[in-house]
Amino acid sequence: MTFLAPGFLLAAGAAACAVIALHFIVTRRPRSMPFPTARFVPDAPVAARERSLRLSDLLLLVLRVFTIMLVGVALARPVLTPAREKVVRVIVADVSGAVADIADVRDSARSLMRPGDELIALDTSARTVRSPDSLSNRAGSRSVASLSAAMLAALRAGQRVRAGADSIELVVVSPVVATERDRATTAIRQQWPGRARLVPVRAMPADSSDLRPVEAVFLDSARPGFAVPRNRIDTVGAVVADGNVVVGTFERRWRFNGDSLKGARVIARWVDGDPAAIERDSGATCSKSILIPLDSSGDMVLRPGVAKLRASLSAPCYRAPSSPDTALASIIAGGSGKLASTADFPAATDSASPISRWLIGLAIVLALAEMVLRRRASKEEQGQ
Amino acid sequence: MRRVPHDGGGDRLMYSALLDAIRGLRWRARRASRIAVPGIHPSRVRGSSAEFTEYRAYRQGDDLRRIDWKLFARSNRAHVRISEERAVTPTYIVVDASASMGFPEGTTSKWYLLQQLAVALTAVAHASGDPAGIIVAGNPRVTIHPRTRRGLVTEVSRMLQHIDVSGSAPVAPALAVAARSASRVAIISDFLGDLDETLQAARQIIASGRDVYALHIVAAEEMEPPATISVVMDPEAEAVHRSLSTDTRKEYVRAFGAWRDGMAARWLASGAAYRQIITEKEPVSNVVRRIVRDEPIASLAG
Repeated sequence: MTFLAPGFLLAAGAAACAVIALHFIVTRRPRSMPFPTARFVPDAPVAARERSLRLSDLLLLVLRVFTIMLVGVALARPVLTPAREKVVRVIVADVSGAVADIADVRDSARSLMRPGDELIALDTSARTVRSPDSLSNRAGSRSVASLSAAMLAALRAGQRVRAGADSIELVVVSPVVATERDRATTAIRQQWPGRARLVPVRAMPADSSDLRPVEAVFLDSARPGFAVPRNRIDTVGAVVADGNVVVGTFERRWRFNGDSLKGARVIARWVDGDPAAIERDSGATCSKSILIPLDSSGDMVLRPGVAKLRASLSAPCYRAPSSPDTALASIIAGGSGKLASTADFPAATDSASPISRWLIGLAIVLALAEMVLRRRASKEEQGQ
Repeated sequence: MRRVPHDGGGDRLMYSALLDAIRGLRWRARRASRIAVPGIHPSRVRGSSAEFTEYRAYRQGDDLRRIDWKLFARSNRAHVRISEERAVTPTYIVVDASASMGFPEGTTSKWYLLQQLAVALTAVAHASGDPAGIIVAGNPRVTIHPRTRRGLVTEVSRMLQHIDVSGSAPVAPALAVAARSASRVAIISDFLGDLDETLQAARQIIASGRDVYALHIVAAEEMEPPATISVVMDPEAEAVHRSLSTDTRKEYVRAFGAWRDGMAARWLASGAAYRQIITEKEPVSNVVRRIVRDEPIASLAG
């Protein structure tokens, strides 16, 4: 067990010591007993002291100390750490449109994956996934990945797994094409404090990158192709397509069911991750099904982002040219030559401690028990 | 407000042993009564009853029917027959129901002793044919006017068991009420309240030729405070907090004894029959017997 904020432990210990000291040091003024002839007692200062150590007092002391210590431990945010491995891996699996066959990526990730490893799927964004099986059907044909985003996600994953291992190995399963590089890629890669392993996969052949005419586009029709009505009509705040983010209030009436997504590529997503538009090859042409209501009425269509989105969605199907970038590959696979040490990753101070809430709850129970016991002891004193 | 615990029966069965022990007692009057109602006590009124006392020379205005004609025939002088009358002595028991009588906490032995004394004295007066009543100087004041009917003792005992012993109601006003119709007043109190006013009212009653009994209740714990008590508080003046240490304890015993002696002297000087009664020291029946026979009580200090 480790503590994310061990300072609270020290504070709780000090407070408990103070309570113990006060319990034995402070003497109580004895209770005044009714005495009708009290007037005949000389009027001297009431300096009588009473020190009694009863079982209830000891129980009260134990309850108070336990309550304080539980609160201190809870605030120190204890985290139960699993058995420590020597090396854990952060695997970045590129599932963007640059990959020729996602099955290659899935197989590679499956062979690399060990318990305790972190798997990051990379297409238009980088996200953590639980298993390599989740890597299927995620990328659209035109989705362009960013290795910068992948490296940032890997750094965050390194913080998460640092407690369970001595070293962290970064593994990148990607064809590493030129379109995945941006100006920040090199700088972000240098922040990873160790070497990385590159597992290359086949890139989409350059000769298959062509324009295919669009057969059908549904923007404002009554029912888009492959779509089924949603159980409950709702609204969503943004849609992401081809790197464009359009913020607005979109009413969602339709959704793609599981069958309609088979063999299709997602080309736009709602901000909550649901597919908003897909495209599907049909021989020499391709068809698109778009669930985004871009109503021509109102001023939304005048916004540049909406116009760009509309043009993007109406454009012919397009496969980005993807040729492996050897320079970028050497940057990714470079580094200090050693595996990244977990000590180089700062501890995540915002981590949640699932034990804390239980400890706080137990402390509240103990505090209530202390209050009940104290009242009972007070009543007993008054009864004497 | 604190209600003194009592037996749920609440009738004279609770005092049956005490009442049996005092059966046959008569409460003799210390002074001749001025009441004309026939009773068993000597009366100042001279009348024409059958109990002959003396002859007196006839004076103008005397009733001619009271002239002893046979004596007139022998002596040729007119004399009237004088006989001694017997009268009742209406009795009031005035009890103090202030908070100090609820001592000690838990046993309330002072109040318990007061109840027994009040019931026993009422029973003795009632058995003597005297109208008996009781005034509880509490908050509120409760009164049973003097009467001779049956059930009086039960009524008094039941009433006393439902009294809240609290507050600091004065005794003197209750004494003034009793003085209106009683020839004998017995005050049962610890006299820790309005002692001066009570004494003054008692003097007025005594000056008018009536009897006053001052029955001073003292708890044994007041005579010798238990060692477990270290800080004390006057229940009728909660601002008074005192510490009972070894030194102050001795001083307390001395001061309390001096106060009791002084008070006894003041009561006796006023002409009242003063009795100091300590709780749990003597059977109540013995105490009652000594009171009504005007004998000194064993627990009387000094």
